[in-house]
Amino acid sequence: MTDKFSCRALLRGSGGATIALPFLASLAPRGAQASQAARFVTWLQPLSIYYPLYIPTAPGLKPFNRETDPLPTKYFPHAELGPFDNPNFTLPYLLEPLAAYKDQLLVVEGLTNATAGHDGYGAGLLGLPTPESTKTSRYMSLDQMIAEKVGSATKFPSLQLGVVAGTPVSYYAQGRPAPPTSRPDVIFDRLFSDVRTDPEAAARLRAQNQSILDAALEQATTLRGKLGAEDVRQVDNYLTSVRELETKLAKASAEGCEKPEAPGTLPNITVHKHHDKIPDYAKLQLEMLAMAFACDLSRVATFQLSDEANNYTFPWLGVKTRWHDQSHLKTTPDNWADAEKQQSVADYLKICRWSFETLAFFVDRLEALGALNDTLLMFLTNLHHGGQHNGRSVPAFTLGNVNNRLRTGRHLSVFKTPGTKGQERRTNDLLVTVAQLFDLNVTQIGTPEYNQGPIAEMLR
Amino acid sequence: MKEHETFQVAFYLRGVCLAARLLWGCSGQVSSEGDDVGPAGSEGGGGTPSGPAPTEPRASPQMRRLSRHEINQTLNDLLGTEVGSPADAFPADPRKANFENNASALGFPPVLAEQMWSLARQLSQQRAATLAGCADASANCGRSFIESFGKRAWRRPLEAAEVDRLMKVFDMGSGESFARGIEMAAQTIMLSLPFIYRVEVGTSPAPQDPEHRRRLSSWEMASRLSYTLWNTMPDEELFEAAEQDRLGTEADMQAQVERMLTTPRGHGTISEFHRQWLNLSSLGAVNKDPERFPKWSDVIARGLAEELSRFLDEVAFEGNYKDLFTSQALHLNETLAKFYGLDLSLGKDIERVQVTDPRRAGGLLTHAGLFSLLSGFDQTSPTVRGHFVREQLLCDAVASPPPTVDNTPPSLDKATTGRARYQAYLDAPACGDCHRLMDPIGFGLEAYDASGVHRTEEGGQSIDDSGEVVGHAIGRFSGAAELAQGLAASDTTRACLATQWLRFALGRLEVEADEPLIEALSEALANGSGYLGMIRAFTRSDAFLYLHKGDAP
Repeated sequence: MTDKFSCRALLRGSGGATIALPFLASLAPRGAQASQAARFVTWLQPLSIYYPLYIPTAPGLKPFNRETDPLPTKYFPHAELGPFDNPNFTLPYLLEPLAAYKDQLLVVEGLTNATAGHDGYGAGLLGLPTPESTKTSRYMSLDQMIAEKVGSATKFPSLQLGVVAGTPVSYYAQGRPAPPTSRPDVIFDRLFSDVRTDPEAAARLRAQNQSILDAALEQATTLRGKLGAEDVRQVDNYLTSVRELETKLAKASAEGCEKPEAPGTLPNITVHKHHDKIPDYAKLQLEMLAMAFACDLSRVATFQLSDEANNYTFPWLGVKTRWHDQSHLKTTPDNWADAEKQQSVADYLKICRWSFETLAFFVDRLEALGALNDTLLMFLTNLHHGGQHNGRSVPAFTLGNVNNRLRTGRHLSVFKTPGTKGQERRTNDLLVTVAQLFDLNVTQIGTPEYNQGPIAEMLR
Repeated sequence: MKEHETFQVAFYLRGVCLAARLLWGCSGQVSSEGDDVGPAGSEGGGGTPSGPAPTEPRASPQMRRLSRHEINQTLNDLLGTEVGSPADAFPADPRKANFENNASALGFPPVLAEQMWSLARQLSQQRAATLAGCADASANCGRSFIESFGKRAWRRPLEAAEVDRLMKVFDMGSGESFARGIEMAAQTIMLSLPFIYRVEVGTSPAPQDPEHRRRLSSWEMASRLSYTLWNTMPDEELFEAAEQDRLGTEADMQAQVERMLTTPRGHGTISEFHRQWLNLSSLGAVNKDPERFPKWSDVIARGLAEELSRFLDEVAFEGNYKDLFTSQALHLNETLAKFYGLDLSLGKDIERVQVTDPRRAGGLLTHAGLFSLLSGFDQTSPTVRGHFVREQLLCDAVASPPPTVDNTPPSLDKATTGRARYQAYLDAPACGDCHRLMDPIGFGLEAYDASGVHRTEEGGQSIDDSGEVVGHAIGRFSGAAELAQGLAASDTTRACLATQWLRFALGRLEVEADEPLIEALSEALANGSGYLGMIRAFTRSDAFLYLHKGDAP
């Protein structure tokens, strides 16, 4: 267990001035809320993961050998085994970067994602087939439900980061999207500017900011009375967002933490020739996210390396075609030469491995900053196989044991709902399980008929 | 175990042929009348549109949030051109029915509030000294700054209560310093709703108007003109006209329209319209497989972008809209001509040349800039090209593939042609029913490779470029030029162009009640006056001149 002092000491190394930040509530001695997770981050992985080298081998089966085993066109190697629960699993190749955290991992196999297909990518945390389903509805995404519960005390109730990502995956109530931000300099400005070292100057700035916000809010409120119903909805949308800004700015106060070094201007990574800077973007974003957690600027975040419509290439891995194209694995139709398929798999594996190395970098930073302890990380994808576009048994796991409430350090297979006639379990059940770990009074999320209730096998 | 769930493949084609809005099953049978546009959202169902699309609420928002493009342009006009494009760092504006300025889709999420806050703060800090513009650092000076800067930023004079409200902010800041007072007032003005949104309250209908159409104030009209024709705030002349109430008559209005249409800002707006409508954002940054397309380079990609943008600008401003599909005026330099394999003697600068070459006879459709965009990294995509013709040029709404379908692009086997590769998909029962509406169009365009250049063979086999627009009067065709001829002659295409303009100009989807307007715009196009005639007709329409009838006060 780290304390406020050591957090500060760790941050001091990064250069930059001391800034005023809120008291580190999450690092204070624990009391009544000790059994609830304090922070939640979703790692939404686009375009699936190479499954045979992601999923631990089931008890009694031979490990998948990429040199000798034929390329599977469909996976589900464990679907026919029935449910199992293996605490003695071996980390497969793709999960190796997380070796140091093996006892915190809970790999859940057999969940069907409601969102299969690229169109559904943004709906993973909604438990709906596509984000469009939210249009007229009451839905909000899991991270926002949790943000309402644990995030409201912090400057940023939730953060949405995406390296090359335009697709929102986070939705406020009524399906209002929370789009991701990409540029590290912009993220830095949002997180770490607007704070002062000198308490007197900080107090004055707070009062000044408040007067600006008061005037803007009053202006909009006055106008509201003159407009028609549709426009009033828009004004309310504006008022909600400006009030949230007000709360954020008011919270930039009290105890000290240290400001990381500003990232400066980076080249635009959506341009092909700057794709080699993508890893820098990712690490800068994750570094700042870890810092925001450690300093309790925020407790809830979504992170995407990219969305599914990306044009990524991977010069630093020697992969020159797009992520999406590699994810198809050239398995269908079946007239590919074996050598071409093998090359495609090799390239895709590099991309997947890099993804997990980047994830491990983030977990390492959380650990180093003392913020891993009460964080729950959920890794989620919406496709089982990039080429098949099917949502059956999508890669999903959690990292973090939530004060021993999760049965971590194991590989769990839950292909069928116990007590039913082989009804599929959906990722909706995982979302509900996580919601309940945050003590939310939630029994179903997203499409009602996709819900079977929380996954009891995950819980102690 | 069933791998793919069964799904109902039903999707609809939206004819903009006014009266004939049809809902199609993929079998091609008309199954019922579709009454509206927009993707059919199936609440919690299988994710596949299977019935008529939900009706767009009739009263679309009047208030429009400025798009990122409009925020950039407005800030440049308000503060000076060195502002650049700071709103590009904001989250991307959502794209709805091709356009990024749809008022009901443009929200104001908290992250945008934060970024607007930071941007307004940063710009005010940089400019506080020059903004004030009066010598003495007095409260009077602060007040006159608020009145004059506020009027330009909010595109109307401030009411007394509004000035007082901003003076409170100024006073709070001027306790620290005069500059800080100006800075804070400027930040407030730019964070406020009347800057970020186009607010239209309107005035009461003229007493003699039997239709009770709500009129716009002269200030609101000045903003409508400038945001419609220029995507930015009014200039001095428009402000002056608003001040003197000189936007009330048709003559006043038409004089402004004529003055504005052909300025550089007018050209900029048409270029923005094309960028959104034709989805050209990536133009100039397209990447191709260097092994298959060794002639491709960044220079070529940028050159093709320039070629296409000059072509589109010329079509819009100097002729008949049909030139979009028939013009053989090319904008090339030596490098581009060589890339196309055209034997022309040209210099380093791009110039306009008139050619008669069947390979380049299809206007837009024979521009490599477009077809390289509508292709993959290493091969063409008849589906993507067919989809473009349906959605962009015929205004048909094509549904996305069902979520569980396998939509892997076909393997790039050098021995076969694109047509053969995609035929397998047409033949597959789950795909074929829908793909037949797109792929056969793309087959007819196969004589243009993934870099957009004409070819006669692929993998040793000669290209068969016979295609078909299934279910449309154009029907069967051979090659891009013939399809382009068909599009040029098609009423659907003409109405579609009018519809796309309406979506862009009004920032909303078309509704039933817009049909007479679409017809009028379409007629203006038919008169041969090109885009300009259509835009003039639009600025004379009720949709442009009045608030929606029957809207709440």
